[in-house]
Amino acid sequence: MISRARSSPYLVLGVEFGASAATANRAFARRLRQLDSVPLTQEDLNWAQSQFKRPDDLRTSVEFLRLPTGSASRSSPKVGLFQPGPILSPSSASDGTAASDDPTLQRARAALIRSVLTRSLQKSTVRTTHDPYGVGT
Amino acid sequence: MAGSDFCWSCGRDPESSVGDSCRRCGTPRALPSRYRESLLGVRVVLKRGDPSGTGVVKEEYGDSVVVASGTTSAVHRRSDVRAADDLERIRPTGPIYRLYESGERELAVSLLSSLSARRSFASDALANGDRPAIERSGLSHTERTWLTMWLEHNAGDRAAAAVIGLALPHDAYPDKLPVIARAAEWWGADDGLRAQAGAAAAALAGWSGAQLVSWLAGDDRPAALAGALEDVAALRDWFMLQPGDEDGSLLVHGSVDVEAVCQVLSSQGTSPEARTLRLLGGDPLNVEELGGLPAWALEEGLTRGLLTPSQLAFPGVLDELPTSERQQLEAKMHVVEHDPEERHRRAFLGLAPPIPDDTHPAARRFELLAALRDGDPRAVAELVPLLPEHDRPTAVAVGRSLATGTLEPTAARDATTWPTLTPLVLECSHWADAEPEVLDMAGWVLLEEATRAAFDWDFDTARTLADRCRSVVDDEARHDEALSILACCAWMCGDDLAAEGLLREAIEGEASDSLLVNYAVVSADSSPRNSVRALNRLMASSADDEVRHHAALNSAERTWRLAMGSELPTGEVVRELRRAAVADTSIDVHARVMHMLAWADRRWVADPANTQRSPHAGSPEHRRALFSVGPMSERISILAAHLTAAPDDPALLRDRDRLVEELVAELTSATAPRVELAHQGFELIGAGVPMGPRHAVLVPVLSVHMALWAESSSPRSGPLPSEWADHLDAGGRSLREVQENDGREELRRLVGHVYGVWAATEIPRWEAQLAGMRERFSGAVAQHDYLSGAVATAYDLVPVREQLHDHLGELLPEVDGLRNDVYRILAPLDSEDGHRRAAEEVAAGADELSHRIKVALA
Repeated sequence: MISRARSSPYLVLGVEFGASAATANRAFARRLRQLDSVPLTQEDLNWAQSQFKRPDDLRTSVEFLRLPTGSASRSSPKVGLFQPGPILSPSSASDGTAASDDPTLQRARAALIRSVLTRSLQKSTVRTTHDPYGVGT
Repeated sequence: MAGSDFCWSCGRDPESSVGDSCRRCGTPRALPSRYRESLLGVRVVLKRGDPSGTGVVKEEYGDSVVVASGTTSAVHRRSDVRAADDLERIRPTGPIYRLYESGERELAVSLLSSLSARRSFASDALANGDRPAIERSGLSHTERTWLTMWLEHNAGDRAAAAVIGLALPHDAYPDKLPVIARAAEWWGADDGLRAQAGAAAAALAGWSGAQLVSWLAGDDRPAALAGALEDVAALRDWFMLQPGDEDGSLLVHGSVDVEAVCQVLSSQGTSPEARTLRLLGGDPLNVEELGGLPAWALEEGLTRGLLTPSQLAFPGVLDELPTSERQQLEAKMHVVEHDPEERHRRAFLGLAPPIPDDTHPAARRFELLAALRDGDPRAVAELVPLLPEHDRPTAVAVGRSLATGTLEPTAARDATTWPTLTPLVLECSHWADAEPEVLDMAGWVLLEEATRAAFDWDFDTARTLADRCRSVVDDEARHDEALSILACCAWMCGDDLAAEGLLREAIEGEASDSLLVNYAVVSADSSPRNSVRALNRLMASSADDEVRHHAALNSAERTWRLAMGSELPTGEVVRELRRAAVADTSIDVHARVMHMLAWADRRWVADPANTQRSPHAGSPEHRRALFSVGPMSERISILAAHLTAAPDDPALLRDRDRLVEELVAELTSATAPRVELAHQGFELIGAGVPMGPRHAVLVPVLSVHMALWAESSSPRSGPLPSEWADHLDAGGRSLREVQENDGREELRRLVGHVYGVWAATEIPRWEAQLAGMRERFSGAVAQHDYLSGAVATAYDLVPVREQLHDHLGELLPEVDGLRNDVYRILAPLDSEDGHRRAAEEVAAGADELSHRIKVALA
């Protein structure tokens, strides 16, 4: 078994830094089948997978090696010869933009905020959900 | 999103508040604990012993809980009790109120030790219709008025709620404003009421929407957040709406909190907008959830392959759409489902299953495209005429590259071809004449392959590829990434120094968070100071609060290990730790942060008000940290109380040992009399804290020793306190309990030291009593062989010391006479004369010698 002080759950499972718990689970299953070809034990894999149970802590941890470091952009554009676009209306989401910059997603977020505010501005006179101090029964 | 970040009543930043009260409005501002593991105030049943035993937990301490039952209390292991009803754990004051009802009023009131407990108790009493009970809750009149306002509001009596709300102070309890606003709406906008409420609302004028949301929400439940948003909107509508703000732009302006609100709403909410957000974020929705979504969202989902036509065709999904939008969407569904081009495109991209035996031209085109993608250049000839005009040059270039083994810039310009061309990049070894497009592709391919090899634990290959990448690429970002992979390989192969050197090069200039983390990790053993520096730099540069907290925590921990606590972390690290101590971190991180602060910032931690807004303020880990920095007297009394009830609790025993060792260390290291230490030792003995044999000797002996030392320089008179002799006698009796492995050598040294000092201590008024005390203790010591040498050595020193004193006393007049002679010689000499300088040196030496002798005699 490798020394855990020298390991990283990302390296043990073979997933990129920032991978989700679901990705880690899939990698765990894949790695389990590869145990003959890597110097790891099932205990290592269990340990690494357990680190993904608290993904926020793992994402912000400064105790494990990160690979890749995100210094260089690694995503390739999504439209080209081998990624033909749809024949439906051109989609803004298919141009390779990151999800957080996706204008369609931003549009949905704006709609969400707007609708909550609009509903409240309609001057509804009944409020049933907000009881911040637990006074109600 | 954190809960309320402001004073509970007036919204002021609590950093500027002290103690349990807000400095601005003076009202208590404790937040209820969110700690769900606490059993405080919970009615529990015993799992062992008396099966019918029940009680209420009134104290928690590590693995132990103090369970009150009637008028008696007993300590149990946490694992030996369980909550009588899991629901009770959600509101710990429920049992307290019921206790109150059931006649155990004294116990109930004693449990209301914290402000949040009093508030919850009062709320519970109100909810149970017992208004007189809140009079005894210990809350102020204003506080009770405020609770009553909410009670009336929630009971539906808006008029009463508004009247009570208006009686509250103008500049406090701003949550009264939504209540008043709702009532005003209901009443039909009475101008007078509006004016009154408007004046009260002035206190909120400078607040951002995000602050209001954060403060009104109280916690991060979607329902609470939605309610808070509604409240903010209502407030703005009534009192603060600015022209042009109707779309809620105030809330949206760069507000992190509102962003968090949206995240919560989108991940857990059920509104169409929230579902849209989830759908477009790639979260699969079931058919029921698709109903009511806007047409544009469904169309987008269809286009992206997130939805299939069959899902949309399910009854109910499109029912709420306007006819025109529905028809448009159905047309697109038809295209997706039946248009051969689209079906083959989706199959080619893996968005749909393959379509077998199709004779449509698109089938052949995508078949050839797939062959080319898989690296077969023979497909090009037939494929190119079938492709759109703009794709033909790329296809030709790819085909030619695959056929000839040379990388063409036209092919490299389209990044979707890079995976196909990867084998060619890996085979190529000469990049000197390569075009920029090709080098760009090569850099990407080599990094991808190196990362993949590292993930496969093939570190030799990864190192080779990353090294090649480093020689090929020209941009700093990829260069740094390659260095990071190389360092990772070196470190995993045990070459820490090489790893550190590579990453040191990578973090020069700009460096991402992850690069700094990697450097801190690989240098932790080989160069811990550099590791700490990297963490401090990460703490200063990261935009992520949690990363900064982790960096500060690890920096502090490594600093501690570096010098075993003798070197403190920097001020920036301590300030970041303070922020981390009240942030919504996991309990493990919180416990580590508190532990570090208890060492590095003891005074700050000692004030509970500084950390009470932590979500873990009620946790045992938090309380343990506060305990460790509290005043010694308080710690002693708390420990004594708990140890009396649970003398065998391992956690308590560890805390006791830590406390006693701390006291012994201070008693032995004091360089001047410190009478308070002696008193603390006496308190420890007097409180009945059970101690191990070694401590049972050391604490009384060292405390009496310190007290005598302090008394020897005290001018006051009075008899020798008799308990000192008793303590010393008890210490002498405990000597026989000390075993070989209890640190006999250290005990021998300390007893010898104490004897040596006693031998020289002269307090004439107590001479007889002191002699008796020493004699009795000597008798006790003499019974133990392992100590006899120590006493003998100490007493042997006394005549030596006296001889030395006499000798120095005789020497001093001689030295003084010599010095006077030298000064007499000096007087007539010329200032430039060499003899004068020599004589001056002799005089200076004589002065120094005289001074030292006087010090020794003193």
